[in-house]
Amino acid sequence: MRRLGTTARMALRNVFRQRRRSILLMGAIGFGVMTISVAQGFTEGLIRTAHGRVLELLGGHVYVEGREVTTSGSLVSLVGDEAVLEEALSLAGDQVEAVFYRSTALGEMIFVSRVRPVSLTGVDWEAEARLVESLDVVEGETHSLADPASIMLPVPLAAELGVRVGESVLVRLTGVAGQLNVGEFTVGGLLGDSGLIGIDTVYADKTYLNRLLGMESRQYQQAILSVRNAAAVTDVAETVAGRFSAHGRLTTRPPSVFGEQADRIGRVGIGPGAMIGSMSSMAPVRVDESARWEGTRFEVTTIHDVMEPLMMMLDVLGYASLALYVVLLSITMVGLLNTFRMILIERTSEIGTIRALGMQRGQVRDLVLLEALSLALGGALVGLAAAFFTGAIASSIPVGTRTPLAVFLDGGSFVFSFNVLSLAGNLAVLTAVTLLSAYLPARQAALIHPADALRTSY
Amino acid sequence: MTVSKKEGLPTRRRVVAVCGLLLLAAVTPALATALALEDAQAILERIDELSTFGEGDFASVVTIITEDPGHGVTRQVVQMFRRDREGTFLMLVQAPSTMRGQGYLRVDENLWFYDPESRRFSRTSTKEQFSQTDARNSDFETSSYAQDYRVTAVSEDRLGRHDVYILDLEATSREVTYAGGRLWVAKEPSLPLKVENYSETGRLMRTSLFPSYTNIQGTYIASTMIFVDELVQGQKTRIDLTEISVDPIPDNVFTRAYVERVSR
Repeated sequence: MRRLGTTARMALRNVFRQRRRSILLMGAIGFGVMTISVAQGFTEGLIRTAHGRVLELLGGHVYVEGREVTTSGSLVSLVGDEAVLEEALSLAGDQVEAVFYRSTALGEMIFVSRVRPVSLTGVDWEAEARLVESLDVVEGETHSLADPASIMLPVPLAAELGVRVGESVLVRLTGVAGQLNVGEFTVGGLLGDSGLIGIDTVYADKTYLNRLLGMESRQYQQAILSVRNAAAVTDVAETVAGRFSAHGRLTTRPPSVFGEQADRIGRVGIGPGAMIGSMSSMAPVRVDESARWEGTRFEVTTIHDVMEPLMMMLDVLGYASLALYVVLLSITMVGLLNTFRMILIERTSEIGTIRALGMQRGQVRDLVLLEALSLALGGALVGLAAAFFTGAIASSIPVGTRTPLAVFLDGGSFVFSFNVLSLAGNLAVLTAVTLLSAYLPARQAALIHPADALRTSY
Repeated sequence: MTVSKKEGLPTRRRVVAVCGLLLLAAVTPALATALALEDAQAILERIDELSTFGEGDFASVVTIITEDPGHGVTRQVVQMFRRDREGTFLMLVQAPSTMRGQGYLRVDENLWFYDPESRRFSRTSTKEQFSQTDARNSDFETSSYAQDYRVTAVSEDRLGRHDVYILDLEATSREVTYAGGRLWVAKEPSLPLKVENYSETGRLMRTSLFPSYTNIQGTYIASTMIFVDELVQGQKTRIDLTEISVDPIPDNVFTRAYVERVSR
């Protein structure tokens, strides 16, 4: 142990013998560590923020939406058969913390001559006390929501419309059966948070929204399940979907009808955010006669389904940063190999001397390996410090809230989330690569015969 | 005041007569309105009949000018083909260049939108806006007032130099685009000159004006339509139909393959 300590001290001293070379090598290693750390922190931050925001906006983890076909063949979003739904939900049992029943609509909010698209979510304020508490109210009071026609608008939306608290706005929307309707809302307050992916989400009283949608006050379009354990989301969804399937009431989104929703939403210029959670709020389309059904059919989706497109996007980012890290590691590996081959040549006679003074072959090998490790870890520490600094600076830059990237932003800025396990993994890989690169020169140094080494002159 | 027997009817008989007259006066308009409502429903049928091409086809170039307070004035040119006997129509956007090739095809009860960029068709609804204007897709379809609405009140008035009936309308189902309406119909021929569309909540949503019609072999087509968005201040759309033709249109025009081919 004492011998290893002496070797380590000698290795550390060797690092600073060629300062310029060591600094350059540490800089290269640090740059690689910084790049992968920033990329990972950025990706991790995007995932966490998006997950949190989607969860907050949709109110739960599992979404059950009802679909019915009217006598005239129009596909509408409505849960008419509650018995089947309740039976399926009862099977999920204690895994479900709470169930929220909501209605949704895409509409246009109008104030004088200004029009902005909005996504309206009808909630039962009494049943969703947690949602009321989570509202980031910057002006007005939440008790104004006791008025069914009262709503709270995100500050940017209110600014774009030019509307103030206490004034009235109109909302033009399409009812479940396809009839156009218009409702008048009073702005009860302003919220600091905006919507999701380019569209403002506005919560409204479900009873009032149902009236505008042409539904009965107790009816709803979606049941949203908040699951106690996030790991059980898929289990709960499969249990519920399995029950619907057993009743022949399960439906998916075949491209023929549901898959076209994205095109329609894009065409009316609302933005992809409207896709999330519901397709209920546009004028109903016709269903081919052969594909019609009676009663309610249910579609079950989870937060994982909603996150899937985002995760695919982030996976690309993750793979790109990993590829960059591999390239940087390869360059580092070649750099270390060359450096230590040069060091071996430079220090041949020195190695002969210390061998002649009694240093064992293993110690010489360890000396070279420890020197390489010191260089790598020193560079890694510098890289980590630079990554934290870069993350701190980048996360303080305001990106704004009126951006398609809104789902990835917290308070208008990106969040960098450094995962200790990921960082430790990076360091482990770097250590392995360093040891691998330096092993050959270290072994060569250890095998030098003292007499031969002392005879050598470069 | 008393009345002598020689001069007139006894007081009791006069009171009965006055009451009778008053009752008649009260009942007569009600009876008249009841009759008028039946007639008014027939007027809706007449409107649909007059604006529907029975066996023939119809084609026209449609120029749409939209005034939007947020986006200024935009102009679109659309080629329209209609075959009322099959309930089909095709709208192909010719201008502006950014929208050229977009198409709306109504066939077999389905309304399809074609996007030349993605080269894909997607289902859409007649109730949706036509190409971000104040017109709805249904405004280009065959007229269906009699099927969509029932008359709840009728009166007479003048609109400009026309004698008109004013019909208050109520939608027959929740699938009709607007819940209610008020229709100003010229007495002869029965053509709508002005329509106000109301929401279920009773708010005026849109006013449509039809200042000029073209008579083609007994069928009347509004050659100018003006749609005023009553919710958004300053927003309106003017639609003019030119190059009107009733020549037969080949069957293959009302197909998805045709739309794809001409949109290339």
